[in-house]
Amino acid sequence: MTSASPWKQDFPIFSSHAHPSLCYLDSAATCLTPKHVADAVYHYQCYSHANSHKGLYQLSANVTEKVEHARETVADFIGATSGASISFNSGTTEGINLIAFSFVEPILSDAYKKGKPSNLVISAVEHHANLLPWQRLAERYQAELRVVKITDEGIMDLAHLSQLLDNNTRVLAFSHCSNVLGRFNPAEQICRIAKRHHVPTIVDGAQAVAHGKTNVSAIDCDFYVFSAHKLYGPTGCGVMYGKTEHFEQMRPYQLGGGIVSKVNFTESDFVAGATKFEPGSHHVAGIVGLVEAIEYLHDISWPDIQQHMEKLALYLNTSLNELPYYQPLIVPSAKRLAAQPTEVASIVSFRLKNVHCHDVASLLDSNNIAVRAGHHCAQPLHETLGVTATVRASLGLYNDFSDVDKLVAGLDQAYQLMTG
Amino acid sequence: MSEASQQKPDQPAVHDDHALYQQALLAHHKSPVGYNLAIVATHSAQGVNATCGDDIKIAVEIEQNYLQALAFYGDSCAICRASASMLCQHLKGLSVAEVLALSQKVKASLSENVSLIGVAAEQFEPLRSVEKFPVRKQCALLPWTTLEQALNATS
Repeated sequence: MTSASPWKQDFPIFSSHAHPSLCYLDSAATCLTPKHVADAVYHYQCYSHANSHKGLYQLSANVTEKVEHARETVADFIGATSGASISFNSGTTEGINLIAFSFVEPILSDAYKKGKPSNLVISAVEHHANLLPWQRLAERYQAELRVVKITDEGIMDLAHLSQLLDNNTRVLAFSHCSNVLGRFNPAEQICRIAKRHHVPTIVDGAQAVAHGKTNVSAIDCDFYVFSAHKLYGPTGCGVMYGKTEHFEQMRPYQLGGGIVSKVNFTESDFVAGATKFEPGSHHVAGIVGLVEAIEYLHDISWPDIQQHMEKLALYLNTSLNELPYYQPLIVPSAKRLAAQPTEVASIVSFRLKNVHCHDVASLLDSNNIAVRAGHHCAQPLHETLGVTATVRASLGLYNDFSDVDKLVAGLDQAYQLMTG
Repeated sequence: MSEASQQKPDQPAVHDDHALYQQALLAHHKSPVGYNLAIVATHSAQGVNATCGDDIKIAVEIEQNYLQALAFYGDSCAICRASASMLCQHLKGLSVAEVLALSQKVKASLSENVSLIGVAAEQFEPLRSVEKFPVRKQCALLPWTTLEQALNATS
């Protein structure tokens, strides 16, 4: 295997008339789009588009079938047993807010009315999308928001988790992979611990789904959410997986057409199943793009993707560690790297000694290198680690060793300019 | 410590490729005026750019309606730091009214590309490089909005 990306040519953004010299290291924010996906969206919109689940004519029925088939494709992609457990929405943020409103709030409200204390548990690494909905619910129902500490390695401290869960814990919400640290939590183990306390689990899979086979059945979580655009699909399309037995008791998140079986001016009956959470018209172009992205990854195969990404991540981490002014947020222990050499994060957040991260990002941008700078929607995590902001570099399928070399050269130039 | 105003003007032009980080601006970043300066502050305010993490405190000593001393503190990027440094360098000795009027002009020049004229144009020329970098304007503006908060809090 060479160090070059065999898939870079699939991404039109690197073509000569677009951005041939772009060094894109911000895939954790959004992945660039392969031509396969863009073409699928274009072809759907041009030649197949109609409103799904509504029309009685063939064109509409075809689109309905497309959407229902997409549920099966997505279910298979994340190891769910049935497409009935898949609901489409606008992305991870909406997915979490939906679950907070539809599933968790009624439980909290019920406990509150009965005068029972409640607590909600999250981890210290959470993205604001997996913090703010819980913060609001905690405030509204006078529940305690408990935060599980992270270890020096940047994953959830399981001993602390066990201490925090109790009979009054209404939900445990955690990210499968941190968008700042790039470390994977042992989701199966975490859900097992939660199950022992009869606590339902919500997994934010936004950063995890593009980096290896996800298996929600093995994880045995109650909910799993992710976005298409962090998976080389379009923006505005996301997925909520849920155990179907929960759907019955859940109330719809937003109200509108397509989710009711009967309506009069005083009351409404809602449909059963995943479509209860999909009011209005489906974002079919997004769903088509998501399916194509999944098929694109499937065609490449997870072993090939992982082999490339692990090699590249190791090169990235090794190259950065050689810079004397490089200050990573998390320093992987030599012991862990020796034990699990393939578990090198493909997302790294760091600072350069005495150089503000925004200056680093600006100077890298002047060399056509795209990175993220700031707190990456995880301000409390940065505070926990004692910094206000970091530079984040994250890898995608199109990256190769030359991108890492460009980043290192760019960082060196930035450091010399700002401190020399 | 040497201050930005004492930087040699003829340093090698190694920054030509980085339009945002001009020599004069970098000089303020590397040797800022008023940074961590101990003054007898009569008024101060804290300013934060939530999106980027710039966190700055501007302190002023006002005596008989004139700014006798200025200082700034905190963690910020080079653009914010240089902007604060220029502010500390050039506003000393002005009245509160003059400072507020000047602040309006500098803010307009940064956010709306309104040209500064006269002495101010010369004094704050290094900040003009921000014009072409819309996402960094907020960094240059922060010391000025924070200064206004400090002054308004007093009046």
